[in-house]
Formats: sequence, structure tokens, C-alpha cells
Amino acid sequence: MALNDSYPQHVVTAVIVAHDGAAWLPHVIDALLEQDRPVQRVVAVDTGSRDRSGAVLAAKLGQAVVFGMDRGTGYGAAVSRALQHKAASVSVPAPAGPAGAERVEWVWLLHDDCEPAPDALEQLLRGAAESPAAGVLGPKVMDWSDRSVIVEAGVTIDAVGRRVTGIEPREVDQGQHDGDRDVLAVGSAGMLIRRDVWDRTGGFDTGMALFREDVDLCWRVHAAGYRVRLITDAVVFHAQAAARRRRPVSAGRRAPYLDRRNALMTLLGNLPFAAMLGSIARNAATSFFRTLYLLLAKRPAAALDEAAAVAAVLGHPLRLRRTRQRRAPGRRAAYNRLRADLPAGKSVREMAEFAASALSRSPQLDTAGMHHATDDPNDDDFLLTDIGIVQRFMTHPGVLLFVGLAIVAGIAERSLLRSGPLGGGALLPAWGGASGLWREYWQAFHPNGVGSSATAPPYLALVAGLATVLGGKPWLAVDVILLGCVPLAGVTAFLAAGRVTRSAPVRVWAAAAYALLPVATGAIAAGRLGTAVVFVLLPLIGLSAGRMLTRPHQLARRAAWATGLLVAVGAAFAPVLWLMTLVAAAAALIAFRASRRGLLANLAIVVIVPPALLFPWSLQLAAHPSGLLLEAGVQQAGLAAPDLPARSLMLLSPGGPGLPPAWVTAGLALAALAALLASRQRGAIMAGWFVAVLGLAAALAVSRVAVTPAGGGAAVPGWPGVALAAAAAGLLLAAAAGSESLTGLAAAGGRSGLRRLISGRGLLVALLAAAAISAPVLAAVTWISSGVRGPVAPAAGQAAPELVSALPDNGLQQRTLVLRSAGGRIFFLLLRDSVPGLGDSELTPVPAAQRALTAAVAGLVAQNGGEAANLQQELARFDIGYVLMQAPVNQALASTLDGVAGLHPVNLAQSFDLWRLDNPTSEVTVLQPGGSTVAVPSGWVGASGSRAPASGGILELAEPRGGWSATLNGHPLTAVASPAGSWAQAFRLPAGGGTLDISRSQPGHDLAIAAEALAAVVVAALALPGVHTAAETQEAAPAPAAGRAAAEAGGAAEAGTADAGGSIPAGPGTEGDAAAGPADASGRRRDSRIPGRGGRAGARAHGSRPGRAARSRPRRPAPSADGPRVPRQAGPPEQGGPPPAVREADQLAWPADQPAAGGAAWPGRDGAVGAPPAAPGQGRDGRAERQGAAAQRAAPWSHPAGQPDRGRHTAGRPDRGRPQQAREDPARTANGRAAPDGQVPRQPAAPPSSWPASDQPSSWPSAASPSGSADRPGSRPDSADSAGWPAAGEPGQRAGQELEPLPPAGEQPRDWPRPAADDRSAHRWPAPDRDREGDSR
Amino acid sequence: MRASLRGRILPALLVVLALGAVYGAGSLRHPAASAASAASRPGRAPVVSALRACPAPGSTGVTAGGVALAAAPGSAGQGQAVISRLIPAGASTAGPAVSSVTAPGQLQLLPVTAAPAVPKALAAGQAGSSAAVRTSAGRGGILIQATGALAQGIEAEQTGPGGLVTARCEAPGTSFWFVGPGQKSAAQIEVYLINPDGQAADAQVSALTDENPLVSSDTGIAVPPHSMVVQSLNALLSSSQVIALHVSTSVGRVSAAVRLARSPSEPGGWLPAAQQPARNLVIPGVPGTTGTRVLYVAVPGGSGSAQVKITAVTAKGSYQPTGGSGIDLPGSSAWAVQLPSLSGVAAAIRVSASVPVTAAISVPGGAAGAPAALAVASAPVQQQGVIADNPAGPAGSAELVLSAPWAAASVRVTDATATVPFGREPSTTVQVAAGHTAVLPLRTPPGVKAGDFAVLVTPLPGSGLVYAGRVLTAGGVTQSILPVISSPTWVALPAVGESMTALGS
Repeated sequence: MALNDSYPQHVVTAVIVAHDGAAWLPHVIDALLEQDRPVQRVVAVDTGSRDRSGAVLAAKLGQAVVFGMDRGTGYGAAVSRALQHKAASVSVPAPAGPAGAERVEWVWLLHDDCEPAPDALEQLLRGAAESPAAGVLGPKVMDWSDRSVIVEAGVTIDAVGRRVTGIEPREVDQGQHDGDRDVLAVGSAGMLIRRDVWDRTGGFDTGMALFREDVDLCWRVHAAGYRVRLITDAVVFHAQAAARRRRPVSAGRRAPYLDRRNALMTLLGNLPFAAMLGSIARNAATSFFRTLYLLLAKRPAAALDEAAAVAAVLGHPLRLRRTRQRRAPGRRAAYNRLRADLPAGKSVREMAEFAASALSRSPQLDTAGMHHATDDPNDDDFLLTDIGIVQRFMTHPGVLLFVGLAIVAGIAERSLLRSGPLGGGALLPAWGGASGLWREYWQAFHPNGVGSSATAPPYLALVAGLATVLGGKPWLAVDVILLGCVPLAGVTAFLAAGRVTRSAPVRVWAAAAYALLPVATGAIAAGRLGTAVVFVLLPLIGLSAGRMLTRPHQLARRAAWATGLLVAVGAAFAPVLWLMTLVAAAAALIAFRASRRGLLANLAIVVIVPPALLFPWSLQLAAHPSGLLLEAGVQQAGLAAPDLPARSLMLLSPGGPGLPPAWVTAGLALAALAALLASRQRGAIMAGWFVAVLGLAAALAVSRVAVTPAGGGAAVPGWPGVALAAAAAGLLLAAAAGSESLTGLAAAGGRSGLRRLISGRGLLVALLAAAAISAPVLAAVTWISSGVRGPVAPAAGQAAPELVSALPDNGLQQRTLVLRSAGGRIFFLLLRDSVPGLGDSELTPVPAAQRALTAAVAGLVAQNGGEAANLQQELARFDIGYVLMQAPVNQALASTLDGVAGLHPVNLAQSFDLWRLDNPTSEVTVLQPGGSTVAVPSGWVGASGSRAPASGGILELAEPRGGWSATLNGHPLTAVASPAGSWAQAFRLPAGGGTLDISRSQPGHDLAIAAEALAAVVVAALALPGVHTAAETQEAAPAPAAGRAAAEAGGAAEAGTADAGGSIPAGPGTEGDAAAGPADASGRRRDSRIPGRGGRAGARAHGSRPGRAARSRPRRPAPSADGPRVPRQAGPPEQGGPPPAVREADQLAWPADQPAAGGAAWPGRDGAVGAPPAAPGQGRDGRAERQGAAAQRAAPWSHPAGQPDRGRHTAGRPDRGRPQQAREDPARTANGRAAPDGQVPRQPAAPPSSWPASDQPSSWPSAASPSGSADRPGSRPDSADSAGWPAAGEPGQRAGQELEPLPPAGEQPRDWPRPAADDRSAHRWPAPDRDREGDSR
Repeated sequence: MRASLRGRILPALLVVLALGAVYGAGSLRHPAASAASAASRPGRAPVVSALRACPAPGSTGVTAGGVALAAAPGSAGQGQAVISRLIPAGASTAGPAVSSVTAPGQLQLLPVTAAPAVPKALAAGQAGSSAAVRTSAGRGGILIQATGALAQGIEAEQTGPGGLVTARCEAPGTSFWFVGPGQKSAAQIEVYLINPDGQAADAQVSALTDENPLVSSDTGIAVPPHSMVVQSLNALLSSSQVIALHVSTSVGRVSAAVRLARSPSEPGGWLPAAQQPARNLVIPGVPGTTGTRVLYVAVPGGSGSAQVKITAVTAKGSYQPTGGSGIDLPGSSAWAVQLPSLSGVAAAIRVSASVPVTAAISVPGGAAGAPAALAVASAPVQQQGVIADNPAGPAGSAELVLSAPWAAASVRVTDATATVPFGREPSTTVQVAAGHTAVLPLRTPPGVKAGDFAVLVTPLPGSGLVYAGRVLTAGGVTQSILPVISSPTWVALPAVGESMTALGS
């Protein structure tokens, strides 16, 4: 330890804390020892490393200065302990320099993965000398692997606790951050702190264990009155192994939890009280949303971490108080000084950006911390164009279409645009508030009419949910659904059209033609909420079903859940959708059964999810299958044509009120017919026509069936709206797909301009286009000019007289029987407290009670009906106090009612006739032994605390039997047969009187509803796009491309999800949009660029995360001579030179001796560790099980569908045996460190063509059939190919030219690296929890 | 190129074929969607209770008499009919029972003694009274409350002390029409309103005459529960030749009866209630006695005149006694039309009018002190019709005039006595050709006093509508004509169904 002359008055004690850092330690120690200005003392702690860290330390530094600690020890505790070590206080000879200079003791903190530049300490000390008030000095931190990249230059913490460095991801250091300055904090790697300051502040907060302790310490240093300075000329190279999850955090809890908890502790501990309160609020809100988001993204563990971190801090106020007390001195002053350095949280802005991006469906901008799948790759017409969000949003053709359709609809629906509920036709007005709807949905017993114990239709919950969002106004929700269905359907159709055509005009045309179909105008005019919903959902269902049929396995499964969910939502409104889905699923099964793996399961999901989600209700439907043909709302005659002519069906006109002339859609049919002759997109065209014919047949069937609603009433003809919408969607699919040929046809003339137009073909094209365009235009024009012609109207006037609907003060509830004579029939309605509202029509009354009521009403309206029954008593048993007839009054019926004994006309108004029963009725009566009755006050359902008459008798309820319980003074009463008949509920009431309680419960119903809600959440979670697992990436991208894409997109994974060693979750766009389903294999431009785009975007956004380091590594020559230098020619078999990322990926994947996967994550710079030969890009995937991982990696996981889920599925595969074989290879030495550098022959990464193809799944990609690779989706070249990167499936041709093919399983590869005998790395680097979690997803 | 075109044409043809198939299937006639099947089909319910009320005995001049009651239940069963006296002051429960009947199917002749006089306070008059129109509590009056089998097919008639005066005990209702001669021939016109229910009723009487278009008692007549109110219309209807009285209630219901007498001191006769105004009416039971028939037609419709066509349905067929063009009658009034050609012809008179009308026809004769014997428009006999008593007396006779104005009818006629219920005696089946009338003499079954038998008239299945009237004749003079009305054993229930839009949409 030779001293040099610089800054002799400073005594520096270097403290190295090592924890599983054997990979970096040699460099770190070398760099420390070779400092220009050496340290005087070194203390090294090994906190229970499972690798050779301790040995390395001892070997390099000598046993005397090294000691060990528990594996669970935190960094702060380790440093504190190290400073108490005797080596930390070894006396240092006085400097030889000029005396008088006061000696200053310094502590230099080094991590096991941070390598100081040779002059780092010198520069730091220079800074210390220049700025005597500095208590802490920190270096500029550069990336370990790509040493041109700056990682950190001072650290601060923002309002929501995020660590802010001010450095862009992957920012190359060009001196832009240089300049010594005061900062809030510097990282602990390379931090130089005065020992007295350390002692005074107490060092790191040992409670924090890991993460943020540096910020906290520096904050406290500020509070103590010192300065924290950044010295940018001092440089350390930091691998940030822990922060990047390169290695597991064994110091206590898991990393995200610690990270978040410590961030909160730092903020809340160091902020003054008022600021702390604000911070608590801000962080609680942020965490709430983050947790929610993480849950939605199906990352429950991360969500748990987030929530647990907040709970850990806020849940222990005493601990927080202690923490604050310790930090109290100087806190206020420090805060005032540091305030400017504390950046505000960016959350709000980021949220807004995120929302805007999601809305405009354009790629995410810089949204650190969130990544979200842009699940439709075809919508990115403004890829990366850097224009404002608003402009981007507003100029989207989809948005323009929406606005245009909204204007058309608004004008056409002018008569309906009122504040207040709509009613009429099939639609019952949505009175009241959202809570009422929720209650109606939740209740087991509905006090409507005679009472209904039917399961409320699930669409009530959906409308109620929407109403809740819309401020608790169900009528607004109905308006949005019904009146908004045209623009909404336009948007969904626009999205769906993107699957077939890229041409924006064609998409807009198809969407507008769909949205303005007669089905929509008819549904609006007749108040068919169900058709409106299905109409909007249908394109999405098609889109989702298309994904299910074309995407790789796991994505297809997700799409299946989504399809099932969408169908469930639609079927809740119009169950016929489920029937059609059933038929379509059967057809799909027949059509694709051979070609798609997991198709049966997916179709089963689609078919089973709706009835399962709608469970208690679907049971009810099963009991009345005819209800499958009906939809939400009132079924009444006149809303559907009883004998719809076939030509109407052919022209997509469903019959009923509010339809345009049938010919407006003729152009659409013409266009679809013309598409039959198109030469391109044959598959889509024929699929479209298949759907269309199926839909037409279904429409025919539906329109020819007369259905009797389950609740009784007249049979009504079915309305084929939903089926015709499906047929129309099919026609549009065909037409839109055919449009490409149309343009081709036009271009075929070869001429341009007017000449082309007047040529024969041009004219044909123009005519066809005009015909096609005429459909939406004519529909819009006729709709606007005629308005909505139908029974739907604002329902303001529809109400019962007020005296009827009010509950009297005495608590004697009275119901009103409404009679109406229409078409020679007499209709009735029993009203309780309210007039019929949304959903009431589906609440089938209890049949026995309804029959009894029907008989009573028939007797009431019959001539001399009083001779057949005691009408007064009959009415009283239903608690009918009033009989009402709205004008126009049927006089014969009125005089019949006049002649009913006990029924007195009252208040004959112009608008209604009203009769009152002489004897007031009530819901609860007691039939006394003497025969007289006593009314008992009650609520609308049941009674509580009512007085029972002392006489006793029979307690009669005007309610259907079943589910009721009554107690007198707390003692339950026995149910007896009711004098009213078997339908009614009655109890024996003992004499003596007392307090009467009557209630109804149905626990089974509550359970069923709860289960339904849970199932809905689960299915939604399964259906929602989530974080993309590595497996998906592998499935979605061809193996070589995956390497590159992975490298680029590596950063895309949020830190929380990143897998050990920077394994590669897909970037947003990468989701198999590399998509590339087989059907999509045309290799069109947009497909080929997707992965690259996704990767770029992801990397840009998240580059500070693992992948970046990996990417840059190859650029930097390995500094150590013993690194496993990969011979260039042995690298990936590129000719033109692969993108750096690819090389990097390969190197990462490059093994020394550790076939076990954990090692694969590790770059193995010194050759100590590594991974066995692996497919390029796959090697970094540290998530797979160690045993199988290498095998998998070696496998060409280029075909999505053919890809089993990871190692556990690979047992039977032929490549399974390779790693084991390799491990047994005696030719290799046990330890990679001893392995001859650079001598490791590069094995071909992809499996050779000699693999038995027969063992592969039929869809196994190019590896098995190299020649066919170009057509295989999985191996379709992506942008990387332009750089000369070969398709995975061509190793035998290209890779094989240079490299020896891998021997078939069973033969030993000649130069196979020998695995570590004890496979230690498996223990050293266990796959973090996160990986297992990922696997289980 | 050509091959690929062929590759495209084939699928296109397939699609067109499929479309054609759908179109063809859609064009096929399919069985019409099952016509509106009602939630409740039209049904029937057995009659389980019945109320009948009549004013006598006890009304002026008729202080003794009784009730003849017969029920023809549709099936065996228990039943009871309680005959109780009305309470002048009204009460929520029926008055004391004077007798009770439990044997259905037989004729019950129940003497009812004269009712006590009405207390002075009540007799003085009450609300609705005026100098011209005096309303007072009625003396006497009985209420029949039948349940079970005795309510099925029940018919009750009040009998006068001499046995010849009969009138039907009416079921309660809200609207009654009476058409007959005016005060020129009947100086005494009284309306009896009986409230058979436990709640008060509010009734109104309005009259159409040939003199004044419309007169009515100004205020409602309060009829206390279970009581009878009598209103004398003498002053109101002075010098009218024809009257049509409309008794209606605004609250509750009443049974109404009208008594006509040539002078206040004579007992006179009861005017049967006529059918509610309708465009087509049939007046059955015109006997074959000689004498001028006068048709009284009331046209309640407010404005304009009624074009009335009159058809006589006789044993020899139908003809139009006033000519094919009919007659014009001004609205809001009642008119008399002489029909001299009908003398001596047993017939039913069919009246069709351009607006709803109601009508009656007078035949010379009638009860002691009555201006004439009156046949009134009546509904056809549905299910069955019962005549409770045929008190023709030793010198008299009873006959049934059956008419089938529209389609041929066949009717089974059987009788019952106080000991032999309906169905035991042999029945007679009468065939009536379409547009014809048949007269069936009613002979007293052996072993009973003359006339003490009940008759059951049952239209056979498939029969056309049949209208019937029972005519009592004594010494060649028509004593009374009673239209046979339906005595149902069941009530037809209309189809009703629940509708969410019953409130209107």
C-alpha cells in the first residue's frame, strides 16, 4: 500500500461489502488496489455469500481485513460493522507532507459490483479538498458493461418516492452531466463520506437493509449541516446487480417491497410534518392506483409488494415516529435547502399520457413504470410520429369516424335527446338511480307485481355499472348504450376492420356501413337495448375470435377468455348471441380442428364462459329455452314483423319499426358479392361470406319462430337483429377484404387519372366503389331525414297517479292494479311502489302467484265476475287497494268494474279512472279467529317491529310463499297454509300480541351472486392483456430475432417484472404481433416491423433496466483476460454482422460451464459463470427451470403455437438430453474460470436439421423444416433480418456452413463445455420468486 | 390466371347457392306464428254466490206475497239461499232472515209476510227529494243471498198475494233501463232502488220521454246499505206517453224495479228491466193474443236521430211490420210506434237501429191496475234460463214463446216442482227454425197445484241464439210477460294477461 502524495492529510478507509459478488469482485478489488491514490485501509465484509466472494476477498486482500457476516445482513449494518473492525482503525502513519494539515478520516464505500476508475478516489479527494463543507462526496456512476453509458450522477427522490437520477435510459455520457455540484444524494456505490459525519449521523439506517439508504443518509447529512457533493470526474462502473435483480436480494424481504418501503421511509422520515402529511396522501393514492394497475396486469405479487410496503410504513405509526424523531434535528433546515432538489411526482402527467395513448391506441410515449400492450398492431398509423397527444388523437380516422357518426346519430335522434329516461317499445324506462338498479340486481326477492324470486337479468348489473360510472344515472347509461350504439359500433367496427385491411378509407367505409345498418336504427327505434349492445360488441367479438384462431397458443388462450367475456356481456343483453356463438364455435371446430392446437379448449372456453358468468340467470334460461331467442326488455307484439319477407332478410332489414327503406343496403350486398371474385385475401373473403350465410340462416330461423316469454304474455315473433348484424359483419368483412383487389384492379390498367377512370376496368371499379359508398351514405341520409320513428320516446309522462304510488302514513302498503284494454284483450299490471322500470320485464313473477292473480283479474273484469268469486277478498289478498285505468278508458270495462261489490270509483279524472277498495288492504293482515281481518303495518317487503293483534289468528302475507320468516317477540312462527291459496305465505299467529318481524332471506342467492361476481373478475383478469411473459415472447418471435428483440426490449420490463439476469419480457409491441398467426403469414410490411418497434419503444422507455446493460456489453471489450472471449466466427452465424444486441445476447447466452439456467443470466465476464450453448437470445432467460432451461434455450422456440410452456413440458423432447450430456462431458473442466478462454467453440445456436422432425409437434417451426421457414410465422424474418441475421430455421443451411451441426441427442458433442460438477450456480443464483410467479401465470 | 379465376368462381357459386337456399327457405310459407296465445285463456268459473233483491212484498198496495226461487245448478253440491228482509234505515249487515233454503234444483215457494211500516222519520223523505220527486225509504223488500249450488242458475221472482203478479228479483248492477208507457196511461210511476251490499250506494234516475228530452233527479239518491229507497216520478213525467228510465249508480250498486199503476191506489204491475241500449235488440215473448201492440223505443243518444228497422219474428217467419225502410226517431227521447199488424201473432220483435236504443212492447192486459202487459228487450238465453214460478191460476195458462231470429235453435225445456228437482221430469226439445218463433205451452206437472212449477230452458249445443219470454194468460188476457234471461251456473272469464305497458307507453 504505497502512499502517494496526493491529499496526504486524508485517511481513506475503503469498505467493500460483498454479497454473492464473486463475479465482479476481482475487478473491484483490482481496481481498488490499483487506485492512483490508494486507500490507506481496506475492510471487506462478506455477508454470507454463497459463491466464492469470501474466498476472493481473502485471496486478494488478505484474511486480516476480511470478515463474514450473516447472509441476512443489510448493507448499512455491514458497513457499520466493518467500520468497527480493527482493520478500519489501523493507525496510519502521519503524512510526510507539510505538517499542520488536519487529518481527515474518510470512508469509501464500495459495492462488490462497482469498479472505481483508477483516479476515482483521487478525484473525490480533490473535491473534498475544494469543498471543505462536504460531508459526502459521490462519483459519477457509469455502466459496468457499456462504459460509455452514464447511470447516475447524483440522486434525488421524487414526491412519490421514486429514485430520480435525471439520466435518460441508456444515455451515453458525453460530458453533459459533468460538473461538480451539490446534490441531494449520491449513491452508496463509490460514496466517500467523512468518518466523523458517518459517526454523527449514525451511518445508514440499518432498518432499511437495502435500497434508498443512500438517499436517506445523504438527507441526514444535509440535516447535519454538511454538503453532499457530486464529483463527476470521479467515475465508478457499477453493475447495479441488486437493483436490477441480477441477483436475488437475500437481505430481508423482496426487492420491490424493500424499494418501495424504504422510499416511503426516506420521504416520511425526512420531510417536515406538513410536507409529510402531503406525502402520505400522495403516496397512498399512488400506491392505490399502482396496486390496482398491477392487479389488472396480473402481477399479484408485485401488487402485494406495493400494498405491503405502504402498509408496513403507515401501519406502524410508532415506528415511523421513532424514525422521525431520530431525524428531527436539522430536518426543517435541510428541507428548506433541499426543496428545490425534490422533483414533484410525475404520476399525474404520466397517467394522462397513458390514458391518452390508450385511447388513441398509439404507442406509448415515455411511460416509465408502465407498459401496456398495444394489442392491435395494425392501428399504428402514426408510429413514433412525435406530434401532440391531442392532435394525434383528434386526427385518428377512428376518432373522426366516431365524431361523424355521433353527429349523424345526434341529428337523427333529435326527438330522443332529453334529460330523463327513455321508454317505449321494448325499453322500460330506467327510473331512479344506479343504486336502485344494483339493489334490484342483488335482491333475491323483487317486490314487483305479485313478487318475483327470479334471478335478476345480469344486464342490470352491467347497466348499473355503467350508470355508476356516469354519475349514478341509469337513464344516461341507457342513452349511451341505445343512442350511442351507432358511433360506438362505428369505433368497434373500425378496430375490427383493421384486421383485414390497412386502408383507412376502407376501414372507415366498412365501419360506417356497419354502424348505420338498419339493425341499428331499428334497435334504437324499438328500444332494443340488447341488440344495441350486441351490435357494438360484435366487431370486438369477431376481432377477439380472430385472434383466438390465429394467435400463438398462450395469446390465443387469452383471446379465448376475452371472447368468452365479450360474448357473456352481449348474451346478458341478448342471449341469442350465445346460441350463435355455439353454432359458430362448432363450425370453427370443424374447419380448424386439425390445424390449431388447443382449439377445442379455447372454443370450450368461449362457449362455456357466458353461461358460467351469467350463472344463476343462465339456469333460468335453460328452464325456458325459448328465452334464448329474446333479448332484454319488454316482449310485445308490433316490435317485430311477424312474417318477414325473405328479401328483407337478404337486404339486412330486420323488420319492425324505425327501419330505412330496404334498398339502402343494396350497395353493401353488391360490394360483398363483388368481393367473391377478388383474387387476394381469399381466406378473409370466404370467412366473411361464411359468417354472412350463417348469420342470414340464423336470422331466418329467428324471424320464423314465435316465442312466448318466460313471464307469460303473448307469443311474439323473434327479431333477427343480432343475427343480421352478424351477417352484415360478415358481408363487410368480405367486402373490406375484397377492396384490396379492387385497388389492384384499378391499378392494373396501368394508366392514371381520368384515363384510368374511363377505361373499362376503371369504370367498373368506380361503379363498385360508388355502390359500396352508397350504403352508409344513404342510410345516414334517410335516418337523418326521417328521425327515429318508433315507439321509443322520452318517458316523462308515464307514471301512475301520485295518490296511488305513495306509501300511506299508516304503513299499510296498498298496491294498484292497472288495467288496460287493447286489441280485444285486457292487460293488467300490479304496481307496488313504482312503475315498471328497466329490468322489471325479466323478473318473472312467481308462477303460482301470478296464476292466482291472473284468475282474480279475469274474475274482476268478467261480467258478473262477482258471482264466481268474492272479488273484494281476492283483490285484498293481493293487497290491491286501487284499480286504475288510464285514458282512453274502455267504458264497458269501466261499468263492469263499477258493478263490482266493494270497489268504488274515486276521482274520475280526465286521464284515468280509479277505483278504490272499500276495505283498506295491506301487505300483512291477521285473520282473526272470528273471521275479521286486521291490517298490520309493514314496509315494502316484510315488516319489522309491527304490533300484532292480541287476538292471534292467521298471519297472511300478500306475498308468494317461500323464503319468508316471521317472528313474534323473537319467537319464530310456524308457516301454515294460507287462506288465500297455495301461492301465498301465512303463519300461525299465537294470541297475546307482541312485536312482529317479517323478513325474507335467500342465502343461496347471495352466494350465487357473489360467485358470479368473482367469476367475472377472474375471467376479466384472464382476458385482459397482461404483462408479457418471456414465454410469450419466445412464442411470438423467432428465436434469433428474439435475441435481438429481447435485447432491445429487455428494458421494457419494469424492474418489478424483470427476471433474474435480465431475462426478457416482451416489449409492448412484441406481443406476438410478431403476431404472425399462420393466417397472417403474408409477411406484410406492418408485421415485419412490429417486434422491432416494440422493442425500440420498450427500450427507450425502460432502458435503465436490465436489458440495457446486456445490450451494451459486447461493445466493451472484456477487460479481463480470462473472460470467455467468444470467437467471432463462432458467434451467431451472421454474415453482415448482427446488430450489437444480437451479439450481446449471444454472449450472454454463452456458457462457460453452467448449463444450469441461473447462470445464463449472468454475463460471465470473467468466465466464471456462463450458460451452455443456447439459441441466440434465449440464453438470458433465467426464468426457466435450471435443468430444462438450457435445453429449451437450445431449442428453436420460434414457433409460437408449437411451443410448450417452458422446461417442464420439455421432458419428452429430443433436445432434452443435451445439457445433461454436456454436463457429463469429461472434456470440460469443472469451472469456467479455468476453462480455456476463447477456446469454447461456438456451437450452432439453433438445433440442427438433423433433429428428428417427427417428434416435433406438427406446427413445429422451421427447425424441423428449414426449407419452409420463410412461410412460417414464427420464423418470419423481422427487421433484424435486414442485418443479415438468419432465420432460426436455417441453421442447417447457413449456420451449418460455418459451424458443426449439433449432434443429435444421444451423441456427445465433441466440444461441449463441461458443466459444473456440483451445479453450484443453481444454489447460488436461485431463480427469484418473480420467476416462479411468472411461470405460474 | 384462368385456373385461379375458376378457383374463385366455384366458391362464389357456392355462396350464391347458399344465399339462394336461405332466400328460398325464407320465401316458403310457414305456418303462421301461433296466434297470440294468452297467458290466461278464456275460461269459466263456477258461480259461487248470487244476490237477488226485489221490492215486494211490502210496497204500496202489495203487503203480502212471497218469493218463488229455483236454482238449476250445473253440478251437485251444497248451497244455501238466505232470504232476509231489507232494513229501512240501512245496516252494514243484512236484515233478519225470514227463511233459508238449502235444496238446490227444486222450486221453493216462500211466503213472506208484509213488512212493518217504515218509521215516520225515514218515510218523510231524504236527500234527493224535492217537491216534485219524492224519495223515501221503502217498506218491505227482500234480499236473497245464495251461495254454493243454490247460487248456480238461480232465479227468484216475487209473487203477489193473488198469485198472478210476478216480477223478477234482479241482480244488483250499476245501470238499469226501463221502457214503458208514460204517465198518460200510468199515473203512478215509482222506482224502487235496493242496495244489496254492505256499503251505501249513490244512484241516479234519469228519464227520457216523448215530451221532454231528458229529465233526471237532480242529485244522487243515497241508498243506505241493505235497504230500499222508493222514488215517485209522477210529477216528473207528467203527460208523457212514453218513458224510458235509466237508473245508474255512481257509487255502489243497486237492484232497481219500476212499478206502473193506472192510479196510486191500484197495485199495478212491475215493469221488467230492459236490455242496455244496443244497436240490435230482440224483444221476445210477444204473445199471440189479439190487440194492438205498441213498440216503445228509447234513443238515449244525444244528437241526431236513430234510423230504426223493425222485424217481427213469427211462427211463419220474419217480416218488417213498418216496411223495409224503417223509421226515423229523434235522439234523447223515447217514442211509441204502433204495430197493428202484430195483433194475434206470437212473435219476437227485432229492432236494429243506427244508434244504440232500447225498447219494449206493450200488449193489452196486464196485472190488476197495470196499464198493459209489457215485453221488453232482452238478451238471449245463454247457458240456461230459469222461470221460477208460473202462477197462471186455475183458469189461466202459461206459455213459452221461443224465437230464433238469426239461426236455427234447439232448446230443451224441462221443469221442476217443490218436490221434484230439475232433470227428473221428462224434457221437451223444441226446434226453432231460423227467423221463426215457436210457442210452447207450459203444462203443470201432475201432482202439484196449478202453476207451481219451475221451468228450465236450456239451449242445446250448436243451437243458434234463442230468445224466450214466458207469458201468463188468464181468461184470454195477457197477465204478464217475463223475458227469460240467463241463469248462469258459471261465469265466462275473459283472457287477461300481464303487460308491462299496461300503464301506457
